[in-house]
Parts: sequence; C-alpha cells; structure tokens
Amino acid sequence: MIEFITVRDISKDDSFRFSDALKGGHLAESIKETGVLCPLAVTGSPGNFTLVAGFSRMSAALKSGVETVPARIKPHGLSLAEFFVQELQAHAAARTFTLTEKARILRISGRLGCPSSLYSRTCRLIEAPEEPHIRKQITAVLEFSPDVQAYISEYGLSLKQSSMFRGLSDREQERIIAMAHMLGIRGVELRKIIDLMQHAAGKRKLPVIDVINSCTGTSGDEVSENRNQALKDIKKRLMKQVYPVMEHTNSELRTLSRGFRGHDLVNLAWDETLEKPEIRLNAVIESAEDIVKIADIFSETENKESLKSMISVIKS
Amino acid sequence: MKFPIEHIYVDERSRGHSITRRVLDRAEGIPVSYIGADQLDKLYRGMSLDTGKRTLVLTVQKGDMVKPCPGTSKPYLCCKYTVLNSANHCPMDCTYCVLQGYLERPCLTVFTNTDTLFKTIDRVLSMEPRRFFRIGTGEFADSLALDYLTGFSADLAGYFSSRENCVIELKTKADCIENILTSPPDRVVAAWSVNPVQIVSQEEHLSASLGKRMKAARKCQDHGCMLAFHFDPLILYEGWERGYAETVETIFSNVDSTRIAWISLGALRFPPDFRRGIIRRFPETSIVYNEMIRGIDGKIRYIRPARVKLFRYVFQRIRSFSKDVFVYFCMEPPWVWDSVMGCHPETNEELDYWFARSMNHRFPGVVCEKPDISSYTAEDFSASRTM
Repeated sequence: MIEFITVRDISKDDSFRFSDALKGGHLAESIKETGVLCPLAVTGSPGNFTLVAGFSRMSAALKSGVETVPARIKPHGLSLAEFFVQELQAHAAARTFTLTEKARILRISGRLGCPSSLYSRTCRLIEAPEEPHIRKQITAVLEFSPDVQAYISEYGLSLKQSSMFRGLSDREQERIIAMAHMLGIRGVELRKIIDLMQHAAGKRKLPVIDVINSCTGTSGDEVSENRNQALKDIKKRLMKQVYPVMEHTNSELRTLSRGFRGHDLVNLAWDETLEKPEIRLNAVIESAEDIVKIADIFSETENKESLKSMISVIKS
Repeated sequence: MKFPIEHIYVDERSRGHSITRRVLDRAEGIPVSYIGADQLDKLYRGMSLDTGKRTLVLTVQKGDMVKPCPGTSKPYLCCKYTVLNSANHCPMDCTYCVLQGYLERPCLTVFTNTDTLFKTIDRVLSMEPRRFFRIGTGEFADSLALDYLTGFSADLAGYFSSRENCVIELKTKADCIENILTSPPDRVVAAWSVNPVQIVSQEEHLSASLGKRMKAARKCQDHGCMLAFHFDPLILYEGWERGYAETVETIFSNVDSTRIAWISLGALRFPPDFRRGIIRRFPETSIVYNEMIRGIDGKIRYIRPARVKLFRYVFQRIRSFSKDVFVYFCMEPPWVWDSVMGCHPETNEELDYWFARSMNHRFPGVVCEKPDISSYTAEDFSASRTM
C-alpha cells in the first residue's frame, strides 16, 4: 500500500543503506520539479518511520525542500527480512551490485535473521555464492578503511583482487590508496607493489607503514609529478630491499652488457629472475650481408670478453 | 606420540573394514559418529583447517589409490616416485606445509578400502616386472602420524615383504614406529624429514624433535629397515650453515650410513597464492621473506644462486660423512644438479634408473636383477605409468 508521508517523520537511520554513493544534483533538480515519483520503502508507524529503500531519493527530497513523499509501508503480515528482499529485487532487476554493496546487503540480511530460503534468494539476487565461508570473506570487505571500500567500488574489484588489502592497517590502506590515485595504478600492478611492501616489511620486521614512508616519503609529497618516473623509483627502492642479490646481479649484467657492441644487429637478453643461467643473443638478419656483419661482431675481442664476463657472473 | 583427535567420523561405507575396526578399538574416549557418504561434503564445508587437524574421517577412496608423484614440470627433474593415496592430511602443523593449500578437504582422512589399494599395487608391479619401484605413503599425509590408531604400516610391511623389486617408504616427522618394529623390515624404508633444531621448533609445530626422530631411526635400523632422510624443505635463515652442518652430523652420528638408502635435498617452494596463506596462519614466521622468485614451473622458490649455495653446502657436508650414499634433488633443473654435483640425469626416467642402480649396488637382493637403463627409458614407459 502506498501512502504519502511527511519527510520529517522518517528517521535519519541508515542501517538499511547498501548503495555505495547517494546520487547527487540531477535527482534533486528533478524532484524539485516533479516531486518524488517512485515510492520509498519504510517500516514503522506515522511519526516514526525507518527508511528501508530509497536513500538517494530521500536525500534529494531533503535537498529540494519537498515535504511529503510517496512510500510503501511494510505490511504487518510481512517480516522485515522479506520486505527488504522485495525491495532488493526491484534494485536487482535494474543493476549489478559492487562487492561492497554485496557485503552490506549480506550484513543487513544477517542482522535481520533471514531464514535460509530467503538468504539463498538474496544470494541469487546479488549474484553471491551461498557458502558461509565466502559470505564471511565478502562481509570482511567492510572492515577495510572507507578509502579502500570506495576504491573497490570505483574500480569494480573482485573478492580475490580486494584481498590485496588484507593485513594492512587503516593508515596503511589510506596511504596506499592515495599512492594508487596519485600514480594511477590499479589491479595487478597495485597488488605487486603491495606484495613487495609487505615482503620488505616482513623481512625487516617493520610495520608496512615504515616501508611505505621509506619509498614514497612520509606524506607521499615526495612522489614526483612525473607518474612513470615516480612509479619506477618506488619499484626500484622496493626491489632493492626485497631482492638484493638479484638486483645486484642484474645491475652487474647490465653494466657488462654495455661493453658488448652489437651495432643494432645483436641484442643481449637474460632471465632476470636468474633461474636460467644463460645469455640470449637476439640477432636481426635482413640480408646475407647481415650474417657477415654478425660474424664480425662476435669476432671482436672486446665482445668476447664482455660475453665471457657475463656468463661468469650469471653462472656464479 | 599421540595427536589430539577430538572426533572421528566413520563413513557408512567404511563400516566393517579392518582399519575402521582397528581405529575404533584404539580410539578410546574419542567421540565417534557414523555418517552417510552424502553428508561428508556438508561436514567439510566451512570447517577450518585447525578443526580439520583434530577431526579424523574414515572413508573410502573412489579415485586412484596408486599414482605417479605429481612432481613438477620441465625443465625441473623429478624422480618418478609412486604415491599411495591411503590417507590425506597431517595432524602436525608445519608452517610451510603445501597440504594446507593443496588438499580440498580440511580433515585428517584415512581411506579404509585397503583391499583395492593392494590389488592396484599388484597390478602396477606386474605391469613392469623389470622395474624397481619406490612407493610411498608420505606425499599427501604423514606416513606414521596416525599409525598408533590405524596400524597400517604393519599391513604395508607385511604386504611388501612378499613382493619383489620394490620398497615401501614410510616418510614422517613423528616417532610412531611401534608397529614397524613388530613387522617384517626387509622392504621397508623408514624415512624422516629433517631440519635443524631451530627450524623444527619454530616451523614444524607438533612434530617430534630432531633427537626423537633420530632415536626412532636408530630403532628402525636395528630392526632391519633401510633408512632415508629428506632435507626438504631446506630453509634459509640466520645461521643456516651451522644448523644444517649440525643436522647432517646428528644423522651420521646416530645411524649407520650404509643403511641409508637415499637422502633428498629440496629447497623451500610453494604455489604463488600460498604465501599469503602462510602469513595469515603463521604471522610470526619469517620463512616467506627470503629472496624468492616464480620459477619456470610457476612455483615460488629461492633464487637459483641461493639454492645452489644451500645445496652445495649440505651436499658437501653429507659427502664428508659418506662417499656413496645416494643423494638427489627434488624438483631442480639440470643446471642446478651440474653446479652442485657436476652431473645430471638427462631425464626423469634416467633419475629413476639411478635409484635402482644405487639400490642394487648398496642393498643386494632388494633389486631382483641388475637394472638395465633401457627398461627405464623405453618409450612406452610413460604410457604404462598412467596406472
């Protein structure tokens, strides 16, 4: 049953809100012109309503100065859980849910004590697995800092991707998100950097925040304006901390490789993880003359010496 | 050494099997529930590994009970070991244990349909009568940790004593050897995973101390068993040189080197996603913070220079005590073999042959005829090993 109720009678309680963000200006303008067309959903009685669905509309109505809004009031015979799922169904028809929204929905249905059949229906509506341990993992997303939650929603991170923030304090999460925004990194690249930071911290038995500070500067201001260079610098600093031998060996190999004169026809490459102890020679052959030139390159004494030194380093 | 089992679940299909009867006879005071096969998944669902390590399930194995060791991909060399899938999981709790992430079900599981197991082994052995088989139960479980309940080691020792051209390796970090000591020893290789005292106490939770393992090894040797030791995983930590030197010395001062069938060396390695799992379950550990890379097979392992250094050191210590004990690497590429030993088997099959050759030379009678490399490298061999 739909009734018009006074906006003042609806409490500011947002315990049923699951959407990531309230829609802004356009909705308020439209409501100012035409009023709220799509009814809100509320529970309670006149003078004391709690909003169950329609948080954006409610916020816009307040902004536009509308005094009454249409609302569907929870019928007596219907449980609050059932009422909530009915409203959810209306949302599900029109959109997909982000991970943080799924987490809030599961938390709300848990709080409402959804019976198992209703819980299964909820999971189907929001496309979440029903297994209790996965539900636990999804709702754990709400323990991340607000910055991380916003980041997860903004970039549509999956549960697996969002696990990169596990084990980080709120402060660490905030700093990493600030860095990610500043450098424009996300996904696999961000995960790699977080892994390196945690690895460096674990190795030196330091909090991750100290590693973040040491490679980005205390406030993050030291990150230069050139994003690519800044990212390169951060990675370099982290790699030196986590892979000292590998970094040292590769730097030695790079120096030695400069002594090899390939005249643009021959390039040297090697496996930088050092797992394969070999130097690869990539030769470009476009004509028969190139073969003669390449043979000359290898007959140069300096080149032979460079290769010999490189092989010795990579095999040691 | 007994482990804190809090509940035993018996699959209805295991009722009446000899192992089930034995476990129930010996499981005094432990609550027992019978459950249908269809309820097993429900039992496993949501169960934590910590609870699983205190919960024993007796069930039947519907899949392969005898299979080649999963090993790893080329260019890493594997030894063509044969695995008996007679149990899953382990009541001990080693930080680095791959079973934490490898097995789908969290519970300690013992498969009771041993008749099927023995029939399958007969079939596998008969398919290649000229081949020497190393068979073991220690791949997906600790071979002896639950032996005080199952007594399965005695069944295996009895079975293998009447077979030829094979040995059964019982690999453990416990000291539950009572059943071995009352069983035929001739084809039993009693094997222990070993690590320095510091690693045992910090990373191998609930396992027997190195001293207890050595005492048990000595008893098995005196009973007539062959022995094996596995330095796997070798772990880099501050003071590792001294730790491993002492461990090698402890082995050779406690047992007769001529009774050691083989010693393996394998450096710490695990699947990529596993690292976070270790940190989550064992936040105090520092083993995951070394210089590790993703190897060619996708596993995370120490960088090659670090592995070579570690292997060289331990290998040389072993050689200072015994010139001829068979030493091999688990999952290492040929160039690492070359750097440490100066040679490498060309293929996994050749490594398998090297084992047979060494066993024939050092333990006369265990291998029924002088091994011929062609029996190990024949082209149809791989196909026949699908079992």
